[in-house]
Amino acid sequence: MKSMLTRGPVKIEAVITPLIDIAMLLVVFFALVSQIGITDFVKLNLPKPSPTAAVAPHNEPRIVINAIANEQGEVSAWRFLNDDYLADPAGIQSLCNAVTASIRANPAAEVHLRADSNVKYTYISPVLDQVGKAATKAIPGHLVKLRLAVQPEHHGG
Amino acid sequence: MAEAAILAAALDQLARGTDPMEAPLQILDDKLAEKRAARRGNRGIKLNVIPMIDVTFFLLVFFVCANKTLDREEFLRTDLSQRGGAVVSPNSLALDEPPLRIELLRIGQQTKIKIIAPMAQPDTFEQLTAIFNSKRYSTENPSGLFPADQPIELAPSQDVPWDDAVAAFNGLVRAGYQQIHFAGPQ
Repeated sequence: MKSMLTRGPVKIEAVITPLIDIAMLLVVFFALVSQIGITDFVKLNLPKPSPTAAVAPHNEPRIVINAIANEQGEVSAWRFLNDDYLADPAGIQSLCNAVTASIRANPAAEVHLRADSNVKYTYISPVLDQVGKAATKAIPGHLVKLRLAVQPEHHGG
Repeated sequence: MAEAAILAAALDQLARGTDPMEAPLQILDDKLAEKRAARRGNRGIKLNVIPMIDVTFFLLVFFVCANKTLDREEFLRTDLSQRGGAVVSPNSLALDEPPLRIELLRIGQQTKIKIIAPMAQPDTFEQLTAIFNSKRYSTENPSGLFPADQPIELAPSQDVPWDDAVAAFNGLVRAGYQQIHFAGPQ
């Protein structure tokens, strides 16, 4: 009985393993969510030129414009920052205004154009034209970098 | 053995006229302390790998997801600043160089390539690359007609699929040209 009383103070240890688990889980969650938010990818059947001269994306900030098209290659809307803009002159003008604001906020950003391989050029042309105008409108003399998204050759799908 | 020792200690205490339970309890207490010490000693150093596995799996999941998100497409570079116009020369007296125009026409289910210049006309995008590569001026090819920064205007017709427009663009990039732009709406 005496030794029980003379054992000394109990050593308190903090169990940090669950804490680390939760911290890592949160880091992974926010990393993934931020990626999804920035890239704003829409599942598309991108052009696949072969052999390609395309390069892998860099870490520059990007403005992603997606063409939402049907199987006949007709674009119904353009998706930009989770907003859909109709593929009519008014919709494209609204898209241009949104792109202008984005370029003004982030002049170093590249514009990534993502369109399905069967989309007709008649739908792409006005957007290319408006994006060029948006850059000039945002910052006079600004050279916007346009990137055309293609599917890599080594990609299976 | 322990029972005999306890009994002997109790009898000894009884003979001395003191509390007979004090010595046996002390023995039991010591025995328990010994057992605890032995148990502690047998434990040794153990590696707790569970947090390591957790962290490893989290990192694995993170990199797999990041890889899928970032690496699934590549990009062809173009500059919209060059769209629809000639290159502005820094010399105000020099004439602007007109862009070389390549039209893409949709005939039936085929896309026909038409170079608006007196030169061989390609049937495929591979031929387009070969022709323009052979015409590009460089130290290796001093007889080439066009410098690498020759402005080239790509003008697909309205019904040309984006796939073919990109293939033509890609072919010209592969041929080594740096200033390629799409023509404005017609």
